[in-house]
This record gives sequence, C-alpha cells and structure tokens, in this order.
Amino acid sequence: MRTELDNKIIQIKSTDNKEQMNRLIEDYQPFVLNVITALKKSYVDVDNDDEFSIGLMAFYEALEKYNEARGDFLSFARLVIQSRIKDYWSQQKYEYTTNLREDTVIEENFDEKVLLRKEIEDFEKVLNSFGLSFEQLADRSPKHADTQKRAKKIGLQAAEQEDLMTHLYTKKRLPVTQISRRFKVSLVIVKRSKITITSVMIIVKEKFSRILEWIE
Amino acid sequence: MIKKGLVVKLTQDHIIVMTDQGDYERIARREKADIGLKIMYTEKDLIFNPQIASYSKSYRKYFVAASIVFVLIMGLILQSTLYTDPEQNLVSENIESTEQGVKITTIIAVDINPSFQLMADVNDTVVKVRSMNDDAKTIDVSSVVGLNIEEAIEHIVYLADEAGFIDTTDEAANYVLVTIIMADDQSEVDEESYAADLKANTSKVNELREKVQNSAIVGKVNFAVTTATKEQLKEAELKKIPVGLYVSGIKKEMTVKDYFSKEEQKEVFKENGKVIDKNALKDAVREAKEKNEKNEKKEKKEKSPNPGNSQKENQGQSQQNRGNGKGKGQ
Repeated sequence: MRTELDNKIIQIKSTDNKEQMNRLIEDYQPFVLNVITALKKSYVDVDNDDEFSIGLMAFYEALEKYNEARGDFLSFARLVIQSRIKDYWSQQKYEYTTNLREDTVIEENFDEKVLLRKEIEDFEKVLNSFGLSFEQLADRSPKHADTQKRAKKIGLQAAEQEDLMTHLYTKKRLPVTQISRRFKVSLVIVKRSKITITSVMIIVKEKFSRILEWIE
Repeated sequence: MIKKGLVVKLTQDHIIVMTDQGDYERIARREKADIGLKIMYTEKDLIFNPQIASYSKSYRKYFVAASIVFVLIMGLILQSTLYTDPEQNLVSENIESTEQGVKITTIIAVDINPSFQLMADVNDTVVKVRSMNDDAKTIDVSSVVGLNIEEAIEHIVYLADEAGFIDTTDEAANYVLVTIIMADDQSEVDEESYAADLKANTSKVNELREKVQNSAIVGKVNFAVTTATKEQLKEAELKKIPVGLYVSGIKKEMTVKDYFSKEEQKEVFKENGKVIDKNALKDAVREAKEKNEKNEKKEKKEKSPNPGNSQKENQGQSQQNRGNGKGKGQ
C-alpha cells in the first residue's frame, strides 16, 4: 500500500520541483540520523560528521532512484543509507590499515578531548558544591526552545555583573529577584530557568572555556 | 530537528548531554559514549524521567497555596455546571485552527488595557501572542511564548505594570479581564447556541478558569474571568470592545476599568463569569489557613495532655502564617 509520503515523492519527481525536494530532505534529516545511529549502535560525532553527510547523500540518491515499484519509500531509503554507510566504513578501514590517515590530527584532537573532559569533571564538582547535579539539571531544564534560549541569555548577562556573581557564590543561591528586576524579566521566568541560569554563570565564573565555547 | 549535545554524564541506562543551548537532556545509552564527546541526536533518543516532578520546591509551595484557592473556587464553579447540558462538552472537540503546524486549541483574551490575545496549544502552552491595540503594541510581550497560560497571564500583568499601565495609587481599581475562547471551528453559530455557549462550562474551560484564577494569588490586581465563542470574539474585535465585556452585553467602546467601576455592571458580568477580588482572595486564603490551623489545634488538643500550652503555641503559629501571607501578596 502506498503511503502519503510515497505519493508526495512521486508527485515531486514528476513536476521536478527542486524547492519541495530540498524541503523534503530537510524534513527527513532526523530520519537519516536515526538510521545511522541505529546501524552504528552509537551516536554520530559532531566533530566528525562524515557519516551524516554520507547518509544525506544516500537519502538523496534514494529519492532519485525511487519509483512506485520500490514499495515503501522509507524502507527503501533506509536500505540505501545503510549500504552507503557500510561502504564508507570498509573504505575507512582500508585507509587506516594502509596508513593513509594523518595521525597528527587525531593526536591534537585527543589532547583537546582530554582537556574538555577535565573541565566537565571539574564542572560537576562545582555543581555539587552548590547542591546541584547533572541529573537535576536534566530533569529541571526548561523544555521549550524559546525558554531555553532566554535562560542561556539571562545566564550570560548575569555572569557579567560582579555583584550577582558574588551573591551566587557566597549564598550559594541565585539572586532571583535582583535578576528579575535588572534584566526586566518576570520572576516566574527567572525561577523557572533558575538551574540553567546558575549553571551558565558557574561555567563563566570558573572559566570553563571549552564548555562555554560549546554553548556560545 | 537534529540536536547537538555534549556528553557530561554516563549513568547505567542513559546519557546526560548539555545541548548547545546550555540546557540538559537525558538520552538513550549507546556504545562508545564518553564524557566530552559531542554528538548528534534527535527527539527519538530522548528519555523522560516521569517520576521526577518538573517543578522546583518553591513552585510546590505556590501550588499548595493555589490548591487551597482551587477548593474554594470549585464550589462556585460546581454551582454553574449544574445546569449545563452534557452535550455541550463537544464544543472543545473539533478544533481546526493551526499556527505554523501547531494546533491552537485555546485563545485567551487578556484586557487590562493594553489588550492582548494569547494562542495556546493542547498542552496549554502559549505558541503565539498578539497585541490588540496601540497601547499593547508599546510593550514587547514576545517572551510569553513558551509559558503556560497562567504564567503568561501573570507575565503580561507584570510587563503592563512595568510599562505603567497598572494604577499603583488605587490598586482596587485594577482589573484584568481574562476571556477564554475555545478555538473550535464552528463558523456558523446560531442564536441559540450562542446562549448555550455562554453557559458552556466544558471541563476544559473550567480547568483553565481555575488555573487563571489561581494565578491571581500573586498579582496585585483583581481578576475577572469569563468565556466567549470565536464568533463573539470576531464581533467584539470589529467593534473594538474587549470580548469579555461584549459577552456581558456591552455594545459600545468601553475600557475594562470603567466597566468594573460600576457595581451593577460587575453583577451582570458575574452572570457568565467570575470576579476575583484581590482582597477577597487574600481573605479566602487566610480563612482557609485559619480553618486548617483550627483543625490542627483540635487534633492537638485531643492528643496533648496540657491543652493550655498547646493553644498558646498554635496562636503564635497562626500569627506567623498570617504574616507570611501578607508578605507574599506584596
């Protein structure tokens, strides 16, 4: 049985609508990522996202090759993505064993990783001294994208104000009322984003530059 | 949407990542996930911990207070639901309006002058806000998007106050008119269903009323809450009358403040809606607290071998609580 998506793809292909085609690829990026993650049994690395690029190309290839006889498009696309990723892996293995890869680059990345890891571990210790943990942060983070963005912004702004920082560190408590007044955000919002604001302020204060770089 | 996360913690069955937005999420555990790794994931990988309350302790305190008010108001609401036809519950069910792919299930008109409209989705999260008059356009309210309805109303009152729209010299004169409109797509509504809709106390509307009324506890204004249909909203907009006043029979331009300054108009409003007087609310909370204390006292009396002492102790406590209540209101 043909799905709505199958019909849509056939229609897009017959009219050769590039814009719709691009939007479709955009919309199905999470699908591509999920296929790779499932195949790999681990997450795709942001710094080394060749696999994701290959997956997207494979998805495009699947779109190009698709016709009614292929049945369900998503099953077909999954097969194409899996096969292209496997091709890439065997090629990589070959390059690795024949020393075609530059080891020095890997070496540098390795140092960076160790330092970042150290920062995260130190960050956790500071959080603990505030009676906070990553678990709590995960369970109480604002879940709406706009609220998240706002919380991060307030945190970065508040980190620039010496007195707010001193208050946070001496009393181990976020000065919610002062933040609400100073940045003209209601108390509800500050209280709601309390944990995220606190964690951002700690990252700035402790000069965890690698973590800061990640959120900025 | 593809998300990017920095692995900060590994537990037995999941991974905690810090997103590039600075917040934290739990995702499914997979092989080779070391601390410090930057990874790509999707909504599908998210793990929610249902056992953990999403509110911090301070919020819980607020909810305790709110639930006291809830009980008090329930009585009033029950009265008005008694004569409603159960078939009217269908009103909230066929919802068609959408905003960027998100279904809008509720529209909330907030008239203080300035006047705003909040559009909320099925989770009662505000997905869009509209400024309805010139005064409203002077205030940037975009930050309410993403909040719950009751938080959004509270935030709007706060912003209006900041912008000087709330009379600080005569707080009793401040009214915030909240009109709840279910975004059902019944474009043709006859006279009869108008009347029916006015009384339509669907469970959903009731629930929202309670929430809105509860949030009055932290405001320094009076709240007036009522309901209207989408058709009435359109007509009221054309005539530039706050929809909550329109359903109370006002057919010419009038401000919320002027309307509620007259006792007889307040009475008319109460036929369809509820007026929550700021002071009445405080009194109600205090009464409820005192009642609680009395009950506690009784229990203690029964248990305590020395009733005299126990009573003294409790009186002190009640005094203290009253003080706390006052502090909160300010």
